[in-house]
Formats: sequence, C-alpha cells, structure tokens
Amino acid sequence: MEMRNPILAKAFDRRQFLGVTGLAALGLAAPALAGAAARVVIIGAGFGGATCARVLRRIAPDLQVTLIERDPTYVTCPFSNLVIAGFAEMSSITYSYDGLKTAGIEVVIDTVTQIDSSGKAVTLQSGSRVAYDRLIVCVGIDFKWDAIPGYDEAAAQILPHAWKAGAQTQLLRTQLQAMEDGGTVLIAVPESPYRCPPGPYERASLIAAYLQANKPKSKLVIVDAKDTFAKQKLFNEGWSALYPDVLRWVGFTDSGGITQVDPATKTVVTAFETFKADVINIIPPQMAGALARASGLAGDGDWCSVDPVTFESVHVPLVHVLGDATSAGDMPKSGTAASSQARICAYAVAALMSGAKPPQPTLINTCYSFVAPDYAISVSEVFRPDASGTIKQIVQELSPSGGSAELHNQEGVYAKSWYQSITQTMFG
Amino acid sequence: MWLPARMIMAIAALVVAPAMAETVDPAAIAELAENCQICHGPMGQGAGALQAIGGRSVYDLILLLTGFRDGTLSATLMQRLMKPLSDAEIAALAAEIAQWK
Repeated sequence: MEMRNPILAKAFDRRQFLGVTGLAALGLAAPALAGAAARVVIIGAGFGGATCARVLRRIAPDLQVTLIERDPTYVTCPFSNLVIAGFAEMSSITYSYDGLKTAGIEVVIDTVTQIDSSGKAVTLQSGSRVAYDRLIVCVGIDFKWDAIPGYDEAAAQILPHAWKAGAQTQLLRTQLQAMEDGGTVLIAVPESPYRCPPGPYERASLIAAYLQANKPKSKLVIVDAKDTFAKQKLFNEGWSALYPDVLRWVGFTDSGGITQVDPATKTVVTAFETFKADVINIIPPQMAGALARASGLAGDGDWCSVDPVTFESVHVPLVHVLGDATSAGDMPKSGTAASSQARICAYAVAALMSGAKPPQPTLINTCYSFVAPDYAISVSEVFRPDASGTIKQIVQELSPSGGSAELHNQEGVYAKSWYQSITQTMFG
Repeated sequence: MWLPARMIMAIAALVVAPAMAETVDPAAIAELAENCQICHGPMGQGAGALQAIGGRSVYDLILLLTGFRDGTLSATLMQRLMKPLSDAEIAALAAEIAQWK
C-alpha cells in the first residue's frame, strides 16, 4: 500500500509537520509587541519591496507596513524586451499599487530624500518624516553615467538604455519601428555585475526576431564588455538556428571595449572597430541606487553588503537591503532572486521584531529568457549561506543543450506563467 | 485506497517512527516554502500552466517532490530545485504547502 513510501510515512510522524505557517512557525502565536504597532518601512515597490510588503502583511499582520514608492505606477523590466520588439504591449507590463493597498499596506507615493538611521526615520520630498522600527531598502540600480565617454543622461534620450522599464522601453520600441529596412541595431552590454545577466541577449534575440519578420535586410550587433555571458551556449544554439544572417555578437577580445559614444553621429567607437548604427541601445555599467549609496549602505563600494540570513546591512543597523542593490553572494540580480530575498527578509524581520531567531534560509533563482516569442530557455539556482556567512550557490542547472522545439515552446509557456505568478504575488 | 488521515498517521507512527532521525526547523521550512509561491502563485493557487499546489494532499505533494528530485518524474526545472532537499525537508515542505488556501 501507499505507506510503503518511507518519506510519506515520515511526514505523518511528526507533529511539527501538521500545522505551522508564518509566525506560528517562528514560535510566535501571539505578537510580542506591546503598545502601538511596530512599523516596518519599505522603500521601493518593485520585485523586492512589493513582495516583502505582501509577505510581511500575511505572516505578521500586527506589524504596520508602510511602502514608499517614487512612481505612481510600476513597469516591470521582466517582459519589457517583448514590448520593445513589438510582441507585447506596455499596458501588459504596467501595474498600479491598488492591490497592495487592498492588502492593508500603506502605500505612500513620494521620494525619500534621506535616511536618518540614528533617528530611525526617513525624510520625504514632501517634507514629512516617517519613523521606522526597521527599514527595508529596495531601490534597485542606478547607472554610472561617467563610465562610457559620451554617454550621459542627455545621450540616453537619443540612445536609450531601456534598462529601467517605462518611457525608455517605449523610446527604444518607437526607434525600432521607425528604422528603415536595411538599418543596423547595436546593443552595448556592460561588464558584470549588472541587472538581469541574460537580459541583453534576450533583448537581442527578440529584436532579431522582429527584424527578420518586418525588416529582413536589417542587422543587429551586440558589442559586449565581456568574453562570456549567461546561458551563452543556449543562446548560441538559438541564434545559429534562427538568426544566422541577422545577429552578430562581438566579445571584448574582438572589440577591445567601447572608448567613445557619439549620439550626434550615432557612432560607437571601440579600441579595434568603429560601429555606425541606426538604433543604438547602450546598457551602461551599474551600481546600487543613489539613496542606498548616499546612506552609507554600500560602504565604499558600488553595492550593498548584507547579512545572509536577515539581509540587514553590514554597515547600518536596523536597515535591511534586498534585490538588485545588494551584493548577495552568488545570487544574480533578477526579479526571482529579489522575490526570494524579499520572502526571506520578511521572515527574518518578523522574527527579529518579536525577539525570535531568524531561520536558516534557502534562496532560489529561476530565470527564463526568450530566444524567440515562443521559444524560451531557463536557468535555476538554489542558494544557502555557508559557514563563512556567504550566500553560496549549491545548485545551478540550465535547460538541456540541443533541446527539442517542443521543449523550447513549453518553456515559453512556463515563462509566461512565471510572469503571471510573480506579478500576481506582488500586485494582485 | 483512501484512508482517514488519522489512521494513516497512526500506522506511520507505529511502522516507521524509529527511522526518523533527521529533524527540521519548522520556521526554516515555512520560509523555504515561500519560494514556491514565486512561480505557483499566491498561496500556491496556480498561475497559467503552473499547477496549483496549495491545499493538495501531503501524500500527492511528497510523491511529486520526491519524484522530481529522484528523476522518476520529469519536469522542465522542478528537478533542479528539489536537488538539495533531504527526505525530511521534502516531507515538511509538503505538509506546509498542503495547508495553504
């Protein structure tokens, strides 16, 4: 009979398996906080911040959760490459914060100008101060505007980065649509680490698909600051099968790196070659968002170092950082990684605020990339902190090389389901 | 064959209790289970082609998760994510997800 399965049998043998969720699992049947509700303030309502707010609300309903976000709507970077290449609409990647409000989260649309960590409060552009017991900073990335000569904020209006989704996404899409058949598209990719390691190659794939179908005499060139990249073998398989005459990848060794960008003549100069193109997408080098750096959360570096169990800053007490702004051991800067970190951070904060010990975390990442609109590949990773306090990758596995069309199609279906799920957990 | 949960537990306790050596931290399991909701929707209620897992029986969930880990069930990526989990972790994870509504 069924009970011969030893694992199944074990499950029924332990009381602890039978009824623990959220705070109850932390041993906190009743909140330990007396008086006014303790307040957690979260800055930034993206994959990290919105998820963290939702999970905290669910597992620690007695905490007051205030989410401060600069923009009144959110446009996701995931799936923005489909929009750029004309395979999805802006409206399909744009979200309101109404779902978060309905869930009981106080959403404040304002810009945080300062974190006063000694006074345990943040100052807003509107002038008000918001006090916190613990602060969670999820501000994502900013660009190093001085890193590529000739590429600054003004140049980005002509040569879009489209690496923060929104107006820039629309700008790149409009430029591609306006380009004559026979034109050239150039994508410049930075050194690691940057937001969404395989993202530039997905973008190149989908733009190549758009060009092949709509402007078949056009070309696309990727000028990379690296010699290897994420999912390289799987992308190469797709590219040689689908876009052999459209797409060209130039690694660092072959270009020597970009030395100058000129928006006026739409020229990208590298050590060994000068590229002229009709549409140029420069993805600049990146660092943690300005607020995080100005608040000392990045120390002397570009990224915020955190405790691997709680995601509390190693520099500023009672302030946690998660998502793309962090340097989180082996974890990449992805939406799934931020969502996983947000969940672990929510449990840790709930535990710490009730005097309990935060659990030992297991974190994951799963990242789908489209090689064509109905063809996706994926990588999955599992992470745990090691004895030295670093978040170590203990599993990494990609889609199999030489996969069938059916598998690629199936992964495309799952990629869309993943997007539906993760956005629903944030904004639904 | 269908058995009442209480009867299954009683049988399990009699037959295999001594085999259960490894313990797991319930808080760590609740936290681990959070990761499932990233793809399987809020409280694991499913999203698109990704199946609903929340509220399924512990029995089904253990068979599925163990099957993915051991390669007896095929999947696109669940086999990767289950790889590091012990029997005790899978059992506890299944019990956690089974409670989701």
